Amino acid sequence: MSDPTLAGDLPELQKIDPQKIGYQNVGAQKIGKGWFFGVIGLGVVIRLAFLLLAGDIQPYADEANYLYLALVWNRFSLYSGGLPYLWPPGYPFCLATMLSGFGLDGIFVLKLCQVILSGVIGGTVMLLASRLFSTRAARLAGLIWCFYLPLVGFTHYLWPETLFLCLFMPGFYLLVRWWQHTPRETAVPEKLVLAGVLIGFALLIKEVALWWCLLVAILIIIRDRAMSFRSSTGRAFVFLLAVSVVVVPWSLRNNEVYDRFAPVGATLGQNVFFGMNAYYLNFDYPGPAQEPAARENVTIRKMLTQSVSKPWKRSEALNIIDQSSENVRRGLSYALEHPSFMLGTRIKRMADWVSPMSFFVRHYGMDEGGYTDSALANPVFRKIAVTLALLLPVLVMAWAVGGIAFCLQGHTVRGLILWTLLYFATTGALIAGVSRYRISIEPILIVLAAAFILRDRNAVGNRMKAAVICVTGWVLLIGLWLINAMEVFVSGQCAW
Amino acid sequence: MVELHQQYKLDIDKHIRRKRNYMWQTALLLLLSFELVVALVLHRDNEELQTQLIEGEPMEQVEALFMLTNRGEPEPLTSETLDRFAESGDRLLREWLMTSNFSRFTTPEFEKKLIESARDPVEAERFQFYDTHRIGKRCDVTLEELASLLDS
Repeated sequence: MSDPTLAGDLPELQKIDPQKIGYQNVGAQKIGKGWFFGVIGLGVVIRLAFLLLAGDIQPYADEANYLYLALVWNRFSLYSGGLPYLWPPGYPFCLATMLSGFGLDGIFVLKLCQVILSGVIGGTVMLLASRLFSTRAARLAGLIWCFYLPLVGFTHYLWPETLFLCLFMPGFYLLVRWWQHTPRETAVPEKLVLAGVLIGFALLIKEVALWWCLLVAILIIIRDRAMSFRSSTGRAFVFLLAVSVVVVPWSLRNNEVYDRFAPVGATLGQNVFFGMNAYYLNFDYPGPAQEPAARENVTIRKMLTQSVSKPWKRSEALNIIDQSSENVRRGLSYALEHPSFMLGTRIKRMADWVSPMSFFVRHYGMDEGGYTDSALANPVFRKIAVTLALLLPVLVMAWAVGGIAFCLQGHTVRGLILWTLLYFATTGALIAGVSRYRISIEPILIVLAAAFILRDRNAVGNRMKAAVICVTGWVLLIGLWLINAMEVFVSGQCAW
Repeated sequence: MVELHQQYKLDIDKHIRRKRNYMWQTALLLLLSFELVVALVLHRDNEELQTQLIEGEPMEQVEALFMLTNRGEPEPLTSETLDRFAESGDRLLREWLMTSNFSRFTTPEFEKKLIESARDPVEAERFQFYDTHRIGKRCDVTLEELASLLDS
């Protein structure tokens, strides 16, 4: 008689809801290898087409700053930060390596790498959807990812979002796989370690997920509180250790250079200066749209963002980490002194964060640079692309709300997903709402959107509660979209 | 009997997983400790850096200046020191004085004097690039300027 396997022959497990059992490794086999690699291939080809059609886009804003850092790194073998930010080193390092190896062509090579690596994001989206929901949802999520233009745009910009997601999403997927395993005590720690390592490398690209790691550790402890305290904290500790092992060398380097503690970088202070101050900035709107947008939306914007005092000034501390800390202190102090102004501006920031605008649309609206001189500026193609780029985020966000309400009920990873979404939404609303800060979770939103569209309408669950949550979410979304409607309309006109 | 056997197997599985958890914790902690030890060994204090600033090779001088200034140690940066670096410093050190990272410790007059003292057209082009495209000053370095700089 063969030994009974853990997930196979135990009669008790066979009676449990399949959604609550540790999944067998579904992987590409269940989605269909042809479909899986076909969708990834389609997404990569679309992104490659946009890269080639966009041509040599003139660097703009942070792109120019990243280039500057890469040049300094190659010239002086030093990473000089990104005054007044101390950006994580990952992206400037990649750019410096490419420029060193290929000269000016290094820019194209890096963008090409971003296009190819974006296939990892598409693959992870499908694997996540398959793992959490169904094969059909996975296929639909993959197709949505293929044509999701805001994500397509970032593959041919010199911004770190694509590289960040290539590491963060697989880490998140492994975390979900570990999270779903039952019985919990038998979940292999290797998945947790690998998830931590991948997320650690993602933090070296963008530090936005730094405190999310701590949140995950707390969620692990809360989730496993039925176990012994030592077991639950041990598991959380393994995750944090795995992240730390990757990040700490850079933290130690920062301590050596700046004589201060900065785990990955120091970007919060400057973001607080922009986002929690007396003036309003939104980097989503193309230059020609900034003033008209402000004029059109004057009532709502004034209502929400009109300040009664002068803006606070940025710290001039010579030490960049001290500067960032001081700016955070001044921002918080300003917020406490003007609570009603802060409340209004946070609502506006939230509206900016869920706005259908994107850097893709902005690039069409710029009067210099962007797509102005490229093949993508073809009038017919432009109208289609801008319309799609504005429509898709609206649909995905609306469907994702439905996905949260209907498809996560009773799910083992419900807490992890909800807290992850809340964390990134909070960072966007608290600091500086702009569509770019939503990119980090857009793959997860795509998964939830696909799940909602293809949900089993006969599934057992509290449908009334789900409907209430869904409608409430939609009402909030629509309200936030209406706040920015005129600004988006004006920006869309510039892009159109 | 079968159920007892299955429960026994489950308990063993849990025990193995717990041991593996401890093994990973230990391995990762050891790795972290190694990283800390390496950092301690490679640490340089301000005195060592100031010696390096005076006696080191050009790249080492730049590194020393970079670290001292970022630690908030502007003492070596008297105007006499800056003038000495500008007049007789190596090309690399002179370029560093023009970069964004260093602009907090100089004045526009110093930078203007440095640009005017460029020793050759290549150095002049580099100085101009660093001055024009200072982070925060102008966010639109063009591909043509970049190409010219990379070729020089």
